Amino acid sequence: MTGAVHRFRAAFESDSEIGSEMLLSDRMATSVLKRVLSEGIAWTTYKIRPETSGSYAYLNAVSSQLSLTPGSSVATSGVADDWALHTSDDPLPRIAVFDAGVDTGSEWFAGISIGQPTRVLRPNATTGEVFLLHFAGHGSDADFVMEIPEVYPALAPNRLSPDFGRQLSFVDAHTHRAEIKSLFELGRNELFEDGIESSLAKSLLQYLRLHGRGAVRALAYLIHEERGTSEVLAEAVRALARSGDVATYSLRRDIVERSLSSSLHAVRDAASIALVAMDDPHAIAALEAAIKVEPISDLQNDLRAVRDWLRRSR
Amino acid sequence: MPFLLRRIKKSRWRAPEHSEWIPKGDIPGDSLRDMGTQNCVLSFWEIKDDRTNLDEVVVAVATSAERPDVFDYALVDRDMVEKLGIEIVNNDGESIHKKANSWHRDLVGLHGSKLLRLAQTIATAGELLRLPEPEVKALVRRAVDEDLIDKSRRPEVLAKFVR
Repeated sequence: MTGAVHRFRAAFESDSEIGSEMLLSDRMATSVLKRVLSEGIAWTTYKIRPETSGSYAYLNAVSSQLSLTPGSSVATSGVADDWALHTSDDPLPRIAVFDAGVDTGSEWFAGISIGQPTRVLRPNATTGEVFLLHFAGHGSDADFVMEIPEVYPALAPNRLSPDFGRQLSFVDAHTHRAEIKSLFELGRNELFEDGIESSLAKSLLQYLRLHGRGAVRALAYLIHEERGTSEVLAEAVRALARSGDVATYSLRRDIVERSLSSSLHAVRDAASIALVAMDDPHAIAALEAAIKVEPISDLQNDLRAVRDWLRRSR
Repeated sequence: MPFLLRRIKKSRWRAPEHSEWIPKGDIPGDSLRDMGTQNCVLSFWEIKDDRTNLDEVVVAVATSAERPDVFDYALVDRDMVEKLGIEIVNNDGESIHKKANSWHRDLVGLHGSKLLRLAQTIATAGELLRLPEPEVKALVRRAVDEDLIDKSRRPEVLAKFVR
C-alpha cells in the first residue's frame, strides 16, 4: 500500500474537540477522517463551519453512528452560522462533488463521494459491517481529491451496530450493469457534442462516484462487450477519462487503452481522445500497438498524433 | 479562396463498420448529425485562404462551448459552397473573441437536398481536421495573454481553459 496522497488546497484553520463546532479547511478533511476511522470515536454530530472570509470550498461532515439508519443520512449544511440540517440521501444542493477512495486489492474498498452517500465497506466481511459517512463539499472551488489509504487497516472492526450493517445492501455487478445499461438507453437519443457535458456523461460520472470500482468494472464490461450504440459507448469511454477518482485511475486507464482495440471506430477514436485528456505516457505502448493494426488511415494518423503528444508531454 | 469552418465530430464522418452498403462517394448518415440546422441556417466561420485567422476562430468556437475538449473541424472551400447555390450571409458571431466575430457566416436557405450536397462536398472535397485539447487550451491562453478575449463574458468557462 502506498502512502497517503493528500491534495487539498486550503490551509488548516483550527481544530477543536470532537463534537464541537470547528472551522474546516480543505486540507483538514484527511485528518478528520483518520480520527473518525482510526479512533472509532462515538461521534454524535460533527459540524464544520466554513471560513467566513473565503470564497473557496468548505466541507460539511456529519457522522452519527447511532442515529444513522439504513437508507438515510445526516449532514449539516449552511454558511457560517446559518446552519441547516440535511437528512436524506439526496445530494445537497450546489454541491461540488469530488471523490476519494482507494482500492487495496481484493480485501478492501473505500470510496468517499462528497455530497453522495458514502460507504467505506469491506466486501468480504462476514459480519456485514459497514462504516458509513456523509460528506458534503460546497463552493465553486471544491474540486480537489483525496486518497487516504492508510486509514483502512484501522477500519476493522468498526463500531457500528451489526444490525445496521446487515441492513445495508451491497450492489452487485449485475445491478451495476443494469443501471448503467439503462443510462445507455437514455443516451441513445442524445446528441453528443465536443465541449458540452452530456447528460449521459454526467449521469455516468455520478454513478461511478457513488459506486466506485464495481461500477467502473461494470462499465468496462458494457464497453468491451459493445452493449450500446457506438456514440454512447464512445461517450462513456471519454467520460472515464474525466472522472477525478484517483482510486480507479489505473483501472480506468486500462479500460481506455483496451478500447483502442474495439471493433467500433468511434470507440477507438474516443479512446485516443481520452488518452490525451488523461495525459499519461504509460499509454504510449498501447497506442503503438493500436497504430500498427488500425485499419482506417485517418484514425491511424490521429492515433499517431496522440502518441506523439504523449511523448512530448513526458 | 477562403474556407468555411464548422466544428464537427470526425468519427461521424467515417463510414461505420461493415458499411459496404454505402454507395461509393456517398457519406455516412451519421455525418448529418453535425449539420443540424435551425431555421434552415447553419453556422460557419470564414477562414482566410492563408489560414492566418484559423487559431482565432478556433478560440472563438472552442470558448463558446462549456469546457475544453478536442476540437474537430471541417474546412471546405467557400467557392465550392457557393457553387452549390448556397447563400452565405455575414452575420457577426457572439463569441468572446474580440476579433473573430466578424468572420462568422450563416449558410441560409438550406433545404434537404442542399444540406445533403453540402455534407457530401465537405466529405469529399473538404478537410476534416483535429486539434487535441491541450493545443486548444494553449491557443486560448495565448489569446488571453494577447488581450483578444473579452474576459468579462463567460468567465467560468474561460477559467477552465486557462487554469
